[in-house]
Amino acid sequence: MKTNPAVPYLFVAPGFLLVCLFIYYPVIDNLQSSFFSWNSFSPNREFLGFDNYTRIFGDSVFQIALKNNLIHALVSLLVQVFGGLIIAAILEDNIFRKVAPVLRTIYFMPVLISITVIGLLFSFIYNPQIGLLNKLLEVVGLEQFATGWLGESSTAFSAVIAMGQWIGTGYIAMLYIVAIQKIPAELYEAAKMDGANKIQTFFYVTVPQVKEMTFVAVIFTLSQSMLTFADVYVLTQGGPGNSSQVLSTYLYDKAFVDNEMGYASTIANVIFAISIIFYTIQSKILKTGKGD
Amino acid sequence: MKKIMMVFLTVFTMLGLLAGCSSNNSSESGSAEGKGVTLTLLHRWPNEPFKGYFDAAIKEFQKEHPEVNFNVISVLNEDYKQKINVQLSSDTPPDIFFTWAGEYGNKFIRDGQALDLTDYAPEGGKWEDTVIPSTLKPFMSEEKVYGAPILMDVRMMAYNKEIFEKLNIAPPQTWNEFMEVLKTIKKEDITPLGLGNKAPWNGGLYMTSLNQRIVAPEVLAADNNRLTGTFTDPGYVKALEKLQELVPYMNEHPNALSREEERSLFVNGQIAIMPLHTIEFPYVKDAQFEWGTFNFPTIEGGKGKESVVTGAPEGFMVSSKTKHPELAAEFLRFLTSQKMAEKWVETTDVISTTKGAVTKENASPIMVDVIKEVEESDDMVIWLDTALEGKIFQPYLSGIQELLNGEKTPEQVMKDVQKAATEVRESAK
Amino acid sequence: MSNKSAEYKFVAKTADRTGYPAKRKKPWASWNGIALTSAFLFLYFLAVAYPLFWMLINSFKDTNEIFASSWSLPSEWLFSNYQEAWETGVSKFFFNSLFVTVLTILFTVMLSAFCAYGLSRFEFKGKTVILALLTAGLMFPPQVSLIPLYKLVQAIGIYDTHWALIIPYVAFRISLVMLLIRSFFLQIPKELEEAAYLEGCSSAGIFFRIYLPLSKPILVTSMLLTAYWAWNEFLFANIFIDSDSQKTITAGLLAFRDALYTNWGVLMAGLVISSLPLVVLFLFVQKYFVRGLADGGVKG
Repeated sequence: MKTNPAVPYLFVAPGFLLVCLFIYYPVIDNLQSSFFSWNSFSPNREFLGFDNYTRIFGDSVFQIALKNNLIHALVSLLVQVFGGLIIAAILEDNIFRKVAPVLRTIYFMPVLISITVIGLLFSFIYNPQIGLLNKLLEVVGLEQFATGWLGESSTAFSAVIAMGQWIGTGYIAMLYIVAIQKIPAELYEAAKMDGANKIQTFFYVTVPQVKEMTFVAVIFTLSQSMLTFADVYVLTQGGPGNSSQVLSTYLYDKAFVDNEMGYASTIANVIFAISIIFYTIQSKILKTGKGD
Repeated sequence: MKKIMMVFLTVFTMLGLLAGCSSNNSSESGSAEGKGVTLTLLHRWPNEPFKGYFDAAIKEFQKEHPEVNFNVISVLNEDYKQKINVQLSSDTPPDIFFTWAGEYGNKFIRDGQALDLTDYAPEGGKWEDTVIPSTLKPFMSEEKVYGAPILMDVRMMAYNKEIFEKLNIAPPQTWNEFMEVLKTIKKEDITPLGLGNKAPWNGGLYMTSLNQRIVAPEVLAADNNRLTGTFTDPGYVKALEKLQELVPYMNEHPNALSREEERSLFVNGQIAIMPLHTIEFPYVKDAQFEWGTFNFPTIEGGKGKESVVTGAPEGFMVSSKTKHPELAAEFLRFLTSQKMAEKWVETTDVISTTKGAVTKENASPIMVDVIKEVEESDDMVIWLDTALEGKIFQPYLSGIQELLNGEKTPEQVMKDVQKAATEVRESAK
Repeated sequence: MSNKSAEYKFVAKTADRTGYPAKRKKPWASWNGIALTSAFLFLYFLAVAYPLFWMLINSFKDTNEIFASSWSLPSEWLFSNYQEAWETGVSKFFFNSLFVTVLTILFTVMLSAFCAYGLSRFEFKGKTVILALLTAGLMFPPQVSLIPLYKLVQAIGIYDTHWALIIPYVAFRISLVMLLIRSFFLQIPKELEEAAYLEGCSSAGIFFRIYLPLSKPILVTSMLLTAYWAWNEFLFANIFIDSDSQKTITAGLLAFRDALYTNWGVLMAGLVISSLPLVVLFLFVQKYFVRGLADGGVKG
């Protein structure tokens, strides 16, 4: 096929220019400001060179935050992406067809609800005295595990992660449902004829057929995990101590509480760089766009 | 397929129309403000009754100054902190903006954002003539006035009178009495003391009071100054040890509870004593019992001044970039006037920092007592998290959380604080 | 990893011919499996539905009761919460939110679809870089872009107008929506396009006549995902808007959430009201992007 070589650029240009202006202008501005020590209301900027970047290596809070982000990303990939795909596959199965519309509607709901309310809800679930979670543990005879979930350094961040999965899994499942419905029915029929069981069908038909959606889901989940902010903010504000600090909350504190904009920019750049590394790796693995 | 094309075409046309009409709107509203002078006011109360007070005050002010239009921006607390930082980064910051006292406001003074208001004092005098001097002091730097306090929040210990009467105990005045009271209450299987420290400022305010009682005033003053702060006084460690002494009497898992959950426990009679802010008094009105307050106990052998109240004034600054300094200052003079200050107390139930504004007629007896103490003292201990710089109070507050969890010793906490203070001191040079 | 996915593809493509590792004897589905799966689905259903129910009943309580007896029914049903929320928090801001959300949806989906088309059906210089740059737009923390964006928004003269929200929303949303639409476009068989091309369709024609109609499910999904995001966003809504007359619902409702005291009953009532349009929208558009009981499949 021959097309005017300008055509693809014309299609891409409007969106791309907008992104350049509103995302990459801040990105570049931010890159520059990460070499300075400054705050937003002061005229004085002091050039630091790479000092902000070397500082992160000695910053123990930064390291806790980075570790937390990576754990968040790993759990979210497993639960939201893999779990979401399984749920989507189950709901799209003939056996559950009848209840699927109701279930997928409910599963999707959390994402529609403001994080403010979800935060309050989960602080009641995790409450040490009247919390649902501790009551549940009592009922099943595991009361020795009951604790003040958000107040213990060992459990606070897990509690935050769990809430994130509660919100996000139905969302990813919905995306996969849309993708699965696009798979030609003949493929499933053929698989059935060949005597593949459900699990085999899942791995040999569904998974490869939703590859492009997996690419989106993985990118999206990873970036959400690296940028996670509101979940932590409404539940623990990074505490107790700094045990549930993530990079976004830490950079927010640096920018708006400590007034160290330069260091906050540095942290933002690190998040950006790590995410891009993830992106590159997964593009290589999934070979997106290289058709099937 | 044609249908789809049609839909998209319609959408495009609609967009054009919408774009057209909304830009018209914004230009209209811009021109409406064209006449006279516009002052931008940034405050942190989009909620009632405060918002109503400011709206009414502006109307009142405009009676005398009909040429002045107001552009009011109101955002709550955390959002305010974001917004002020972003807005001060531009060339057109708000003419009048809210601020807390202490280092929070000092940084605006230091970086030249706040206008020197000394010469804009109320007619024929000084700001001190109308405003309670101890509440003005935190807005001053090198003998100059950079802001006008409007209100004051004081932290008292609130107690459940019913429980105290049943156990036949009196509000404690000294630390030893305090410990006795806590022991007596605990024997009755009631949780004596509340702390909801999920948002760590709450524990920080316990330390504000404890530090004031134990550490000598001149040491505290030096440590609150970013140029001289070291936090090496052994009193700080002792103060943290006092906090540790309290932990067995507190509700379990203090770090897992929010301030609201703590207050709800008090209101429902499940804890006997909690530190309560005067601003919060309206929120415990649902309590089915009578409650009273006492000042934070003095500590035997402490080097701090006795019976200083823990509290802080809050107020407004005028931007150094304002085009109408006289009018902006006039508005602050107006807000701090006797008439408006009394109205403030009536409307909001919050202590005003204007002399003589809190009276028996418009305020509760507790508030009248509190203001008397404020007027008599020449100083006050400001919240740790506004008195200090973020770089210092953040490790301090996280340290307190870890101390409560038994993960850090007082010495370890102070070591982190000292390290942060050293960094601040060095960068401030 | 890459070998494995190649293998999946191979198997999927040739499934109808070569067959599977021989496990014919196993039944297509076991009753145990179904029972276990049903139990799991039911538990998950409870885990989501019960909290939603909690939110609804607590929106009828006052703050003290929410904290004192969080898990029981309200002792007195305070419909006044809804009245107060509507009057002070929602009604003034409703149309602002609607305007911002609708325009954000339209622009986002349209621009993203253009990008997705350009990036999925053409080979051109810089394609990988543009795709990477667009995708990476998802990965930048918005908190640090507040100050440069504030200056930008002021410089182009849209500060404190709805456009100060719409345009950044679109820019920050294009990445995800473009990826979603692109994933769908990539699945559309090239043969269709070639046929249309031979019939004399231009690139734009192919886009509007083949790609868009075939992608209705993902376009509607994208609309929904953009809608909920724009409707609930509050970081930009707080910074780029000053006047009450321009505020959106989330910014309006935040007025109930103070550091020392939040009027949770009213706030929750407000949030229930504000989430209703989204829920209704979701229920209404569902049939356009996922098939229901009756129909068998989405065939373009």
